[in-house]
Amino acid sequence: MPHDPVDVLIIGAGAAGAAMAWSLSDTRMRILCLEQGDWMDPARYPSTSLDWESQGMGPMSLSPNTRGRVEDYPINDGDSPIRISNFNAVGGSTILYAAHFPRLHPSDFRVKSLDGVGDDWPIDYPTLEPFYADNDRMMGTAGLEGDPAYPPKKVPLPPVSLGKVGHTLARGFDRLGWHWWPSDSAIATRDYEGRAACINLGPCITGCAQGAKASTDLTYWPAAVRAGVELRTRSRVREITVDENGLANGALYYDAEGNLQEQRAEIVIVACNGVGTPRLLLNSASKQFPDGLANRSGLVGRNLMFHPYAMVTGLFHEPLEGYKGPTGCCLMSQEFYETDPARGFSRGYSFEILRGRGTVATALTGMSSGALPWGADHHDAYEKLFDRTAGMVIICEDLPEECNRVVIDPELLDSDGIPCPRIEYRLSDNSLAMLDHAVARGREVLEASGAHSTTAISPLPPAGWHLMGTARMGRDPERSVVNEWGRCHDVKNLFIVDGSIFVTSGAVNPTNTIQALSLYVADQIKQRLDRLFD
Amino acid sequence: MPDQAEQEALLEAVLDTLIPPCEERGMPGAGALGLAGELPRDELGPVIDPGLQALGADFASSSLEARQARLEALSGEQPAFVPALLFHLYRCYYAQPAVLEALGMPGRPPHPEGYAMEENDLGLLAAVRARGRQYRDA
Ligand SMILES: Cc1cc2nc3c(=O)[nH]c(=O)nc-3n(C[C@H](O)[C@H](O)[C@H](O)COP(=O)(O)OP(=O)(O)OC[C@H]3O[C@@H](n4cnc5c(N)ncnc54)[C@H](O)[C@@H]3O)c2cc1C
Repeated sequence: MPHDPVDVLIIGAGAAGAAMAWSLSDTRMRILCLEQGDWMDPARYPSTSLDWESQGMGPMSLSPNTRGRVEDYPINDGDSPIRISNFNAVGGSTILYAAHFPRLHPSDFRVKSLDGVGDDWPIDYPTLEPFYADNDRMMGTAGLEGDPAYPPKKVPLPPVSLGKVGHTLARGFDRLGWHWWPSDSAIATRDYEGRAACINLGPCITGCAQGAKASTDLTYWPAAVRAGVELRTRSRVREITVDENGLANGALYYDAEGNLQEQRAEIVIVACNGVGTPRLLLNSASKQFPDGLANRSGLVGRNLMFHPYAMVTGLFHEPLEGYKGPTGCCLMSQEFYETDPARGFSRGYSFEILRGRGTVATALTGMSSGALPWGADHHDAYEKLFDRTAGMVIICEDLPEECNRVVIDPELLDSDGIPCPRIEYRLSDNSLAMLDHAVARGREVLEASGAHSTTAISPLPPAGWHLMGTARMGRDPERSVVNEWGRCHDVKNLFIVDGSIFVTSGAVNPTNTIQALSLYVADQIKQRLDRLFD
Repeated sequence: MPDQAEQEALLEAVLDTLIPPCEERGMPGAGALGLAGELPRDELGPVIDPGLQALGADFASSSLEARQARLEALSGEQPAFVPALLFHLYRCYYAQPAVLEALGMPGRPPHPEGYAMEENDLGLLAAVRARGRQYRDA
């Protein structure tokens, strides 16, 4: 039995789907969101137990393949130097994200014109600016106004605590005369809209038990549900269906018991992230769309961008209290963000300063690096490692390349028998040159901050957490999947609003932009309701 | 074949050799903390049981130096024995309240109490502010 038809069907309740649902909820439309995951219970997040670090390696791992929860789908990323990290629940990957929340720069929308690489976006920074502002308000962004790396912007909450780690590194940046600024962070640094203030628990990336981190199950979703949006959980969409005119008319999905259900809708909006969205479109092949839905350009799944990451860590003589404070939110530097041809690569990168390692991670890292012996010398060595590390991840811009892509794996299936994605990805020469430059500068600033030795991992294998480009935006239907307001060129009532539609990646964490784009597309839909399918 | 009590005493002695007590720092030994009971024995059994047998019952009564030498020698023959144990042992040991306290941290999970942090010194930004605008027009 099909369910009652709805006006708008959103697929995916993560960062983008939540923002879309909230924005559309002020219309009189009937809105339904189908989400394969469930509501999470923050009271059971790992930071409420002593074994929180171990839980982060198992049931709350960043990798869906390691977690293997029934809500997850496996991803074949075995051939990629960068592996996928995500989460599948109400809130999507924001359940685990670090909440580092910068915007793109104005130059990021004009990459081709300014630097002759990648492509220009069909929209620009001023177009997104009001939606960034709305998103900062809804998510509760903390930060400090006046960052000279950005056009002026308002930030609703004061910055996160820099702590000893931040102050130590800030002095290092100052010694070199390099840019740094307290991070824009989607973390309530004061009580905000029903969320309790951050109490510096540390492990944000296993879920925030305090509820201070802005995951969308705590921000957009309660407001959207209050306004009448229906959120149907444990509903995994197998395919989007089309009518004889080639318009989307709903979806087939599996419920929690594995029963196939049918849902009809006038408008379908896909928000399954940069891997889940191309998977769904490719799995929705039909007679009218034999190569996958909305894929006449052949670009669905292609131009996958990750942000190649490096991690550089310094060892210090003094304790740094690095177990306190949000893991990934402290300060950032954009000294090397904009292109400088003298560096031998196009585009640039950001430094995102990290807090120190936990007690267990200190031991396990020491064991694998050989720095921590067992036996009589164990405690001496441990004392020199524990709470003596500070460092950074470096977020490099990834340029779009068609050979980097998401395809459907010929064998891998999820628990409902739906074909799963496989990742084909390699690092470009530009990325490799940028990573080398970035690691050398990372070591330099750590030494300037007082580190007596440094180590680097480049690229960082689990850093496939920013998923972009696989259904890119553009004006030309031959060269893009969605138009300049998020509607698929090939299917006039099908929209995409996650990182898939990024044209280029910039060199900052994408979620603020993903959500600003989603709010912008929602606004375009509302403005065009009377001529939406023209 | 040692009986179960001997086997437990042996494993406890191995753990106390891998992470021995350190009185000066107040760090307990891993065996004396009772962590043998917290290790995933089913998973570890095939890797460590042959090694435990090879060590023999007198291992437990030897000095730390002698035990360390025996484990080092065993590692030559059974290279997976120590790393397999350490991987699980570190995860248990470094999550014990007594250990956290000896390291100068509160012996509790991060939530619900959290941690207090020092005030931000935003005066450090003076040099950055003085450099002025840093983004490109587009
Ligand atoms: C460990 C980690 C750290 C991160 N740190 C940061 C950070 O500091 N800053 C930042 O900006 N970003 C960060 N990210 C990335 C951030 O989480 C994502 O950019 C963001 O969540 C993407 O939003 P989305 O809506 O596109 O996808 P998601 O949030 O991933 O949501 C997609 C949702 O769609 C659902 N779904 C997928 N397929 C189907 C289907 N077929 N049927 C039904 N439902 C489906 C999924 O279950 C999921 O809930 C991090 C991510 C991880 C994993």
